[in-house]
Amino acid sequence: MSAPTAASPIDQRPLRGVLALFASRAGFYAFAALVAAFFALPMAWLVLAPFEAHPTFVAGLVQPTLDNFAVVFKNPDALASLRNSLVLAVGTMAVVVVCASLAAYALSRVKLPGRDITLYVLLLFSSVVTGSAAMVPIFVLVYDLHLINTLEGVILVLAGGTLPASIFILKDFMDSVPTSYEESARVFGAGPFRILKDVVAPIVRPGLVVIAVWSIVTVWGSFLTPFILLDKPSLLPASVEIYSYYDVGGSAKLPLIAAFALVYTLPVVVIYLIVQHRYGFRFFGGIKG
Amino acid sequence: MASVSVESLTKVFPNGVKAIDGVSLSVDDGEFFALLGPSGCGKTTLLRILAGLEAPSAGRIRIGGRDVTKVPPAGRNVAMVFQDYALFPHMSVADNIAYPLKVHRVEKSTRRRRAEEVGSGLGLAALMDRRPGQLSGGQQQRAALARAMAADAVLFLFDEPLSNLDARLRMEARTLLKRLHREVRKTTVYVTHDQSEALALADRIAVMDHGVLRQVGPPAEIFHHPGNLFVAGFIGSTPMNLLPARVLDGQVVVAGEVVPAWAPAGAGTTREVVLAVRPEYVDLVPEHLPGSLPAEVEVVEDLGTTHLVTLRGPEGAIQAVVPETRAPTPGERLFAVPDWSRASFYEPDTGERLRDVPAEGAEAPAIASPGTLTLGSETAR
Amino acid sequence: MSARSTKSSVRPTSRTADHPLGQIAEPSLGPAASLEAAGPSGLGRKWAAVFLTPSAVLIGVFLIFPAAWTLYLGLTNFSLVGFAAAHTTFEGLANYRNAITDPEFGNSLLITLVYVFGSAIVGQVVLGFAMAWKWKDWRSPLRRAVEALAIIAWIVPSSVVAFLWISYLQGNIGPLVEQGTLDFILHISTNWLLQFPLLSLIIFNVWRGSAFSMMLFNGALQSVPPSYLETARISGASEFQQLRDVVLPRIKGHVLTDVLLISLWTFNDFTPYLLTAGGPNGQTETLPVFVYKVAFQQGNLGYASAISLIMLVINSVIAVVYLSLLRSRNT
Repeated sequence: MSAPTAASPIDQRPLRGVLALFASRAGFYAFAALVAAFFALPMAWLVLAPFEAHPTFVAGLVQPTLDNFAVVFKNPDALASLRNSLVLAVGTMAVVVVCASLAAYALSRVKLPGRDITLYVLLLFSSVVTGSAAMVPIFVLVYDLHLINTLEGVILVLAGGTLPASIFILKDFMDSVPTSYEESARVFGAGPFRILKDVVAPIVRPGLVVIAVWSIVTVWGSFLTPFILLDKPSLLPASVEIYSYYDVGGSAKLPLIAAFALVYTLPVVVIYLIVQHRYGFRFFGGIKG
Repeated sequence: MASVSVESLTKVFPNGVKAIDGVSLSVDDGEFFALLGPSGCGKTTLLRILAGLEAPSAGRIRIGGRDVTKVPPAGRNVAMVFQDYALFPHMSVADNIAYPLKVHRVEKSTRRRRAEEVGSGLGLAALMDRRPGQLSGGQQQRAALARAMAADAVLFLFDEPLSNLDARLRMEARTLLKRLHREVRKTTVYVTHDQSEALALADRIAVMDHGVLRQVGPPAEIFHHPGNLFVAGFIGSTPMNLLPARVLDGQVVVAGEVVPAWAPAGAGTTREVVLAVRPEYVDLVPEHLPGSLPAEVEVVEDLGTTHLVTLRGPEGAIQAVVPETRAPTPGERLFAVPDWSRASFYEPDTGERLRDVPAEGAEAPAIASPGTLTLGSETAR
Repeated sequence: MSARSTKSSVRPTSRTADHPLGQIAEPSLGPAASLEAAGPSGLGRKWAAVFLTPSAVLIGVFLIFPAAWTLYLGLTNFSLVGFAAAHTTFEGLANYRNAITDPEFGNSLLITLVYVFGSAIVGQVVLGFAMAWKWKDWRSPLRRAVEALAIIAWIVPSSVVAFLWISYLQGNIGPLVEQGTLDFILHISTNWLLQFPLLSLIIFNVWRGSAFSMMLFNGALQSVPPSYLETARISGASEFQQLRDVVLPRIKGHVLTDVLLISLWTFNDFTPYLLTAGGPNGQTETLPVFVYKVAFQQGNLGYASAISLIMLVINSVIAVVYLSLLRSRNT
């Protein structure tokens, strides 16, 4: 059991009880330490290697330096890939936020037959299709639309894949907004777009932040879609760029890989932790049960 | 300014619930009209149909003579105050008040000026830049009121605007509403479940129940001459005493005793009726008088300046409100003397009121002072 | 008392119930019907359709259409290279017949199932639940720190975590390959990705994905009233009995939802490709990796589409099974 809360007056217990309590506490912290080590150890390299003058595969800090970052910022390909990642992330986010707001609002306020089950099925479907099951038809479709090797093509595909979850999350937020706000605006003469812009969107701003951050984080890290839809080196996002380093470069590129990995990872981790701290686990709040 | 007329309005929700069932009524220009009834009686639905937020299933609505049955809310030129005020949480008080003007594309400086003007009229001048969340309940209520007034509508619709306030604030807000209405004389439809609000504010009250109008009339008529047993039971801080009575040859008999009340019309033959009289009009005396009912005091409840006394009489419980100085003690045997001239009679089966027109040739009751009776003048509408 | 009962007995409730005016509703529904469709926000069906269109187009074109298209593509010899690239022909069920007899496909399907079962259904659910359950009442910054580690593992981009694990699991076999962090700590030399490829992948995915289950179960356990557990504890229930009798029945829906989502995610996960590219000798070639190789390395889009469709069908079966379990819980 949860040992720290089980601390009751020890002096009244027989010795065996005291020992059992210590054993359970020790077990509790041993479990916590084990879990912490399990999660931390693989990440040690990401934190240490970028600052090591001669990084190896073993995480360690013998000769601290910041030179590795200079390598990254002098590498035009690396910089271009970060810029591409940013374009993809922000572009997809913009499309998703606009489309999901409109759709979630309509779905929240107008009862359409089979609305909830459709949305749920789409949500499951999107996690399958954007995963990998439809990589071939998506490639062929984007090819036929002449969007192959364009960032726009990747944005549209990623937006289509992230929309169901975004609508699902946002609808949950919109369902909790009392309709009297809208009715009030309506009586005063406001139309649907104005109500959405003036009244609903500002009130569900936390929800908009959540889906914006969620789509940025998702797209920033996405690998497969840009990997199959882009092969022009100048268009590759950071996820594919860094893969090409360790795929072909091997250990020779370790200083670059280490620093680049940190520069590429840090933004999403920071954004995510801030949002997690401010809004808690509402990302998938609507899914359960 | 506008009158409102509602013609045989019916609203059936998609789930089959009939919220309004053939309601017709009219509100005069400048009138303060209250829709009163228990929760679920359809009063809020009726108000929302007037606003255009719900569409009626059948019937017709005119505002200012114009048929607006199919006109969306924006085209009706009405203003509405919601129960939860619906002040936009992300806008300042000033922006909230000015919002109706913003929707109508009024220029920004004019908006601000108008908001300041209306807001300071309601004592909000110092709060104009606050957010609704930073206001007290009473201030929020006034801000919502200010927003409705800024809209410059022809018709005010209020949906239980005072129900979220605590008792003292509610009284203040009620007085404010009454004063404002006297000043602007704008046609107002006011929904409430609180009869004291309706009695205090309204020029006329419509009592609703199960989607139908049970009685429409000025507060005094509703209070003193409830049109049916439903209204009789609903109106008044204490429910009316309902006594089974019998009409015999034009005389009213309660508990085997002829009482000096006007028999209702058409009472030439023997019939059972229900006689209703307010506890406020029941006196307690130590000795038997003509038309008094013997009773034993069971419970005495202190209401401050008065006491509510529950007695057990020959026809069951009877309640009386007596001055604090004359509170009896439980167990005391007394005689209850209703002011029979203020009694109303109801048909036991339908609950409808029987007009208390004296039967042909009937003697005026001995004790009742005929001067207090306005015979046949009031109708149950 | 009897005065009151008189009142209630004569209250004319029956009159309203079958009021003759009720008949009005039917015939005159027509004129108001256009307004009737408007919801509380005044958003009629027409506006709802306008608002839904952008999302519907994107989802339809880039999500539903591609999935449906696998059905057609899987029946052709559609190809990127060779003769078939110019002359796509309809092949009927040939691709599916090939799949059944293709040992590489069978191998890949088996690997995928082991990967999903080991890393998601067992690994992530158990570790995620253990963290949520054991730390339920642990109020300490330490807990938040450990949880943050798990969440970071979940949120770091896949190409970065893939390389982190490559470096972590390296072994100094031979002169060229250097030692990784794990071997360094354990003072051994095992190249885990070569010697235990599938096991490594499973442990990697437990590390990668347990945070989601942990967060979901954190929320779920909050819905179990503490008084239930206290009652069980007072009556002497062991930890196992508490879980079986009190906790699990209350959070069964959460468990099923969690298992469903992470099963689907793991089934379609492409990260194994980044770690091992399917090797060595196809030992980690899960279906997504297999499809990628068939489609983009061998150029056989028709066959890859047929495999994709089989994947979609398996995923649907998984979803239907879980959803019906979920529904049987509700009824």
